[in-house]
Amino acid sequence: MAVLCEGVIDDPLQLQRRAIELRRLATSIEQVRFGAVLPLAGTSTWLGPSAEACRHQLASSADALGRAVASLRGDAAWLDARAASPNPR
Amino acid sequence: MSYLAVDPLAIRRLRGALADVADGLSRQHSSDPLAAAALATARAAHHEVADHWLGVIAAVVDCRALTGAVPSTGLDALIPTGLAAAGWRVTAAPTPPGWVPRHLSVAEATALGDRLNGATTTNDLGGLTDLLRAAAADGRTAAAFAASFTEWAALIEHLARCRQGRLFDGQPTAEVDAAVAALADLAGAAPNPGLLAGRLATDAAPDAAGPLIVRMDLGDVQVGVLVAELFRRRITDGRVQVSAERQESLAAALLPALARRPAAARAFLDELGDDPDPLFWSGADPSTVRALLAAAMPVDPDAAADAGRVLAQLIDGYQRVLDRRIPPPGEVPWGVVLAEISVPWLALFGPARARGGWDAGDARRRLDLLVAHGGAAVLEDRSSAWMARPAARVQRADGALDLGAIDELTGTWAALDDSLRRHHLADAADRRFWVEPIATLVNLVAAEQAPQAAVGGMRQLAQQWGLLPDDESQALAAADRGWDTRTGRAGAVVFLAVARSMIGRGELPAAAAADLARPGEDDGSCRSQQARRRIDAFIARWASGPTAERLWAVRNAALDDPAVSAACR
Repeated sequence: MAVLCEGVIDDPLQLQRRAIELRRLATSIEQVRFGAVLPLAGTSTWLGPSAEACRHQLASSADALGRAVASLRGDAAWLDARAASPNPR
Repeated sequence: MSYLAVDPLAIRRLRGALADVADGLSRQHSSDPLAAAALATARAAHHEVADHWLGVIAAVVDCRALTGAVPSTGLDALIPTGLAAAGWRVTAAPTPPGWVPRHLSVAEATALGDRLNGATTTNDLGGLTDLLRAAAADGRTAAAFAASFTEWAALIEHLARCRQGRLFDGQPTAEVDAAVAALADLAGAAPNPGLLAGRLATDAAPDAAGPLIVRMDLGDVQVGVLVAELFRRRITDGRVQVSAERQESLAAALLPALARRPAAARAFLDELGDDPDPLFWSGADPSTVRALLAAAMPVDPDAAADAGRVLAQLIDGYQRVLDRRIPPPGEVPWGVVLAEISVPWLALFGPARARGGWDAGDARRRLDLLVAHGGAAVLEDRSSAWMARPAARVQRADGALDLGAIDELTGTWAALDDSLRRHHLADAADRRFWVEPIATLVNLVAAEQAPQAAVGGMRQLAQQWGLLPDDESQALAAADRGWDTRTGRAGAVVFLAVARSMIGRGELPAAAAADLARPGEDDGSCRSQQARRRIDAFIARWASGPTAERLWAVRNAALDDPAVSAACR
């Protein structure tokens, strides 16, 4: 779980707003639909070492973006939990 | 320099999709500190797409050459030219640093197989191996390659020449072997691998086809049959150039692989059948031949018929080799090796010959050949070990005698004695041959009968009868003069063991023990005759009824007229 940065406010409202912001970003990245390009870059489209390298890089980037989205949602949930806590600190 | 083959319509769709993705990634923003890592990931992905791949694809779509001409010769040209022929639009592209083909698409594997036809003489074996391995990495691509490649024989013959050349130059062959292994995997993906292997066995150079066939995932029997065909062609097919095996023989390349697969080794010999000449003329080294034959011989003691068939095939085949008076190449002492594999089946040369499908003439002739051509020492040295099994069967658990075992033991020894005698063994070896197995038999019979402590008693009894020398200082020759064959001694030992056992069980009076242990009186005649007379007198004095009948049966089985006649002639 990520750590709160310096100067983080314990105000539950602020924490909830931050959670909303992280979820917004996660949704925005998902809407890019990066994974949808992978089938289009397959072996029926192009062949050769460069094509193979492209498929490999696109797949790696898709995985990394997926992990980033999951991480954003996890952080948002953590912020929500803190906001709901009687004593956030 | 490498290639890029594209479907013009599909690559445009990809370009459009990547442009949309790049645009979407460029719009991501957030000021929250916890969003920093996700935004960095999005920026990295945007950089890859927008700054690199969209440029590559745009060059292809706009029909601009990327960095140079598409390779038109050599291994690098195989796949791009094959793809172009299949309708793909192909252009040049830089080879990514450190790139090694690990996977091919079905279209690339098909192109590789198609273009490798006619390009089988490449010297870039490392590059070829990489491509073959990449094609073989997946079942679908392997099948695609195998469906489009046809010049298997040409390629494996080229690889065989490369291998012999490297051996000649003292260079390692691992690269060639890796190529052959990858090709074997691909051959296994052919629509009918067995048919392909069969065609190669009959059409390709044996020294080239063999290494591929033994690496293919074929059944043991098929491998054995095909290797036999290669060995047969090697000496009968006028098109085959044995000189191609200038550094490593076909036998050295293939027989060790067969020796690791007993069923294949048996199938190999079965396929050679009554004409094992290809094996004798293979030029194999002795250790390889020993390993092959050891693998091929049956291990089940009840498989006498199989053993008899294989031994007959090999010994008779060797007889024909000798008859031609042209020694086969190589350093295999065939008489010795054939004697070695015969030892576990010695009884086939004696009373058990019918179990191997032999008649008396077969058994005698084959044993004589082994003894006369280097096998005598092996038969001497190892017959004691062979004896353990029949000796253990002489007396059953219930005390009854197994006359068949006695007959097998003594009859086999008689056959060996007869053959060795006729081939004039040296005195020293002769004496050792007579005495050592008798000592072993005494131990075995005694151990079967009684606790180990009683073995000494049986030894003493055998010494009283003159069957064993009293001690090391006693001249063996003295005993040898009296006991002319091991058969006679073995028969007497068996009788003593049985009589001793009957005394122990109360079937004979206890007083008979003293008579049995009485020192013999040597009247100078043949000891086998003396022993039989003494046995006759013992039975007449101490036994009656069924007990006597059993003892007479032992006496007749162990010391019958032919055995005594042979001993005393």
